[in-house]
Amino acid sequence: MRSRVFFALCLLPLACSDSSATSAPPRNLLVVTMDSVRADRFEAPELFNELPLALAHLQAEAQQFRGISSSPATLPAVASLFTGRHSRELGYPAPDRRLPEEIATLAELFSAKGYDTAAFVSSRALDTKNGIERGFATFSGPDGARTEDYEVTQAAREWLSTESRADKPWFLWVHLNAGHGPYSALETAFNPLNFFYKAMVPAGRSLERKLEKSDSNSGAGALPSYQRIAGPPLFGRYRSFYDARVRVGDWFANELRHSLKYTEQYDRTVFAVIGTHGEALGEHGIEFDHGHNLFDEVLRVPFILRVPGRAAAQSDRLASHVDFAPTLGALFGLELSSPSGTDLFSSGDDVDAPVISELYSPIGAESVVSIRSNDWSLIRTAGLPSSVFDLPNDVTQSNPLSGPEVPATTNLQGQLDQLDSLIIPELRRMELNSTTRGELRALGYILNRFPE
Amino acid sequence: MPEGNETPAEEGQPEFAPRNSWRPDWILLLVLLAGAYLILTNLGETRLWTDEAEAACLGQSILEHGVPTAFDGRNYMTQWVVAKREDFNDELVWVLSPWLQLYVSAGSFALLGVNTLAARLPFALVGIACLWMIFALAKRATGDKRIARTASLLLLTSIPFLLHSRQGRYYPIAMFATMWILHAYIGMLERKKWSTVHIVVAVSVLFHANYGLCVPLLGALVLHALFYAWGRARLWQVFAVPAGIGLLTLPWAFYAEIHRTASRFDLTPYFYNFFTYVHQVNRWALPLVLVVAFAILRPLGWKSRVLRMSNVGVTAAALIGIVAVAFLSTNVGLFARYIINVIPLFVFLNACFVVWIVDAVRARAGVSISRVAWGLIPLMMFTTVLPVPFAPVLRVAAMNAPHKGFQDNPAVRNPLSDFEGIEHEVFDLIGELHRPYDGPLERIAKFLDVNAEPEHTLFIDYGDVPLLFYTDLIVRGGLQGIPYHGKPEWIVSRSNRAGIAVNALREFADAEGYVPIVMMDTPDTRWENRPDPYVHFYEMPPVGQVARLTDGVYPPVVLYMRSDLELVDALGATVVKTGGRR
Repeated sequence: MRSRVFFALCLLPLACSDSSATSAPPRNLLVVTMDSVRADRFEAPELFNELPLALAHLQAEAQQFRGISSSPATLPAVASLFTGRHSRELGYPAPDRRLPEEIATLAELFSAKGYDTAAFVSSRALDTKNGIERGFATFSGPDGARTEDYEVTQAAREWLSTESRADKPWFLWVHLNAGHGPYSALETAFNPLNFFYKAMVPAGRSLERKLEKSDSNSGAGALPSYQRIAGPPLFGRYRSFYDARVRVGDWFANELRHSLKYTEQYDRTVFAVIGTHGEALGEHGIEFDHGHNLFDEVLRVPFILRVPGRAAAQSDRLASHVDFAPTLGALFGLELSSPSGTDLFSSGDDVDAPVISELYSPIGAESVVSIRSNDWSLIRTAGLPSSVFDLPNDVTQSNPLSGPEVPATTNLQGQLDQLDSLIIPELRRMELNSTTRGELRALGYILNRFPE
Repeated sequence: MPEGNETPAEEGQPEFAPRNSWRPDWILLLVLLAGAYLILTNLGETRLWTDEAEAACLGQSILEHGVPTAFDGRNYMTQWVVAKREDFNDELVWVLSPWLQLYVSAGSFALLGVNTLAARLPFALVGIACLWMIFALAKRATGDKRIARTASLLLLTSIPFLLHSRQGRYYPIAMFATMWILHAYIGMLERKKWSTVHIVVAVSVLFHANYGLCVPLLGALVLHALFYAWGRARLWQVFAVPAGIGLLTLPWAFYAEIHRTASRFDLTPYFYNFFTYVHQVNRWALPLVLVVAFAILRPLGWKSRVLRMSNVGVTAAALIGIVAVAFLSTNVGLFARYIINVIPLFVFLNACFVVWIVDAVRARAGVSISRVAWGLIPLMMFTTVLPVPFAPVLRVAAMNAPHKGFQDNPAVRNPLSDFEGIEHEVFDLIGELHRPYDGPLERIAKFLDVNAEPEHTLFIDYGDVPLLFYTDLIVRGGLQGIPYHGKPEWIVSRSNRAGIAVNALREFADAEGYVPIVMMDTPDTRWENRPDPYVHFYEMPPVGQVARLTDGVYPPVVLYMRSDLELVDALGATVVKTGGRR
């Protein structure tokens, strides 16, 4: 008898462990956007830390695409994510401009379908005056320049644990600052994950390299002032801070996943983890910053989509932020009007279709547009000749090809020209009020070299 | 003197002569009573320390979820820094260690409520049962009640046994199961009825207590059986025992993927670990001087009736003990608990040596002189004279052996030199049983109970797990390996925690304008009720006393409160005015 009881106890977890295998249709949606997170930290995490990612289990059961940010700035990137439209369709770069009312957001569409909607965001760039809150019944924005990811996660976890979540389908968006600076002592010096940090030395660079300190919030050639913390400004030190922050974001995203499991909602929830944009860690002369160019270090982002019942896969397909809303539209039966992106799960579309990214300064200067396929990247900066990169042979994008070397078949320039027609006519350089200007400067989006 | 009514069996007597049926033995009864006193007195006084609290928290989770669950919706029960993210699986179910102890805790909580005493009581009762078990084992192995009595007496004051029996964790189960396995093994070779069932169940119990302890034991037993089982065990037992054990252990082993979690072996500090474990055996279980004396005197005619190669129980106990110490020295960690299950076996061998000396003296000097030899028992129960000759040798051997960072920890290195005196710690333990024990954990938990709100977050650099058990707060830090950033309502920086960036945490608190709250009446000892004898605090030292385990002194416990909070009651602590947020 004793043996039988014991054996039954041994088998109990086997029965419990199968709970994720159910295939009920997806009912809920949890989107975690992670700021300033490079794709390499998720695609090859073992290079940077002995510990596996907390999200490794999610990766093992999700569809992972080659994510390309629509813009290396948080607000336009997230706006594209939730509308399926390019920045220029949405009227960016004007930070004071709200999302065009005529373009429905995912939250509005879900809300119209009777979903509970909530957003917990940790970046001032995503506050209510931008219209990004549209459609969210609950929108918890930052108190100050930003709210800590810990607090955001905690609030989201509590929202998920509310009993009414079981009664009604829901859409929850959580934005984590993740890799976005400034870093702080508690998360870096006292991050236990640092025990396992791997100080991998990038080719041609030294961890002991001293970073120049910038007086402005620009990371061009120097450490932006908003990133500076006490202690020696060594490249290796700051890079370890960045990696610690990424792992913080990784953990909190997974903590939400654990909450879904704990509340037994995981098997009916589509779970997306997507980077807003990457971060330059010294590449192309940019130190611990983003928003200056459209190279891969700021464009390539994690793009993980877990759909219950859909087999895990590692796809070579490039996934732009603008593809996200159409994909969800197809999954949840939402009516998006003329999105620019495509459903990532549709088999008919060209899996090698190039994707477009755009960078506009918040005050209308220095616009850069890129178009990228798996093999080629074309970057066009206003007033300068376009640069084309042969990506398989030039991973670091350091050797732009001259005209004759660019195969005509890429037709990247032609596609880029078509995009120009999308520019909203009334878009003009806009004046910012002093409050907005100050907030954006604190986050590094406004550079001191532009006139007040 | 524990001289029984029986006379020792004469040489040449059949090895498996029928034993006398068990009947109450007055010395065993006294041992059990004394054991109950030493193990049960004030059992709930000291707070659960980290490892106990881990079992208690997981036991609590079983009451709610049916299986040990590492996440309660707010807090994690994890030590990822150590376990490298393998301690719970993707279903949030704990898989780092077997569940027997967790279900024992859960059962106790269900019966007695969730509290410190309930967390420890069932294990303590098994600890008391170990005193009976060693008696039964020694009697079965030798047929000599004098050895059985001596073994139970020696185990009664073995400090590792007592300290581990007073813990809310698997240790007593492992000790009991190990003796049970040997008892059943001897029975199997004697063709005792049900011995096969006993050995299968006992091995499975040990596996589900700690499968790491099971590996060397089974290895030693198989090795022993190759030489001793021929002609004694039946063929069907050769198949039935592994099959039965497999049936009771493999389902969990596969489920928990123990090949992923059991990978902390490292040969670099092997000899350091080995000599340290031998040091512990020498001091608290079997003084090596007796082994050496036997090796010298036996060729001179001082033969023993039981200490001989033909004795199944003695040889098996010795082999299991040696293999366990040799095998577990490969583990990068160095804790008394890794060899705790073989401590009773060494004590049993110790009893055989004592009776050997008594018999040898009696044969040469007569009965009356041999009575003096029984003085070895109180000498070993209440002093540590006999371990002294070998302690320096083992210390020098260990300290000169290669080691790694873990062994550089003063808490691991210093014990070797701390335990060369002759004072027996059982008196310290008796003192502990009758004193209030207000350790740092108790003080911190009481303070937070009065001043913190359930929605508050506590960040602590060591000691997170007990506070998960004793508070309703969100607790982060410790060995959780969970990154944290933000400004928690409360920060506790444990000053003696080696290897953690203590200064960074304090500098953070200072820079962010946290209010320091200093508890001058409570020393910040690194540990308090740890079962490893060399780091166990029998009483709390005063603040400022030179620390046993480090070069400094014991500082006071310091909490940091976020500056926007108000204290409800300082509870006698000193609140340092900082002038508010900077």
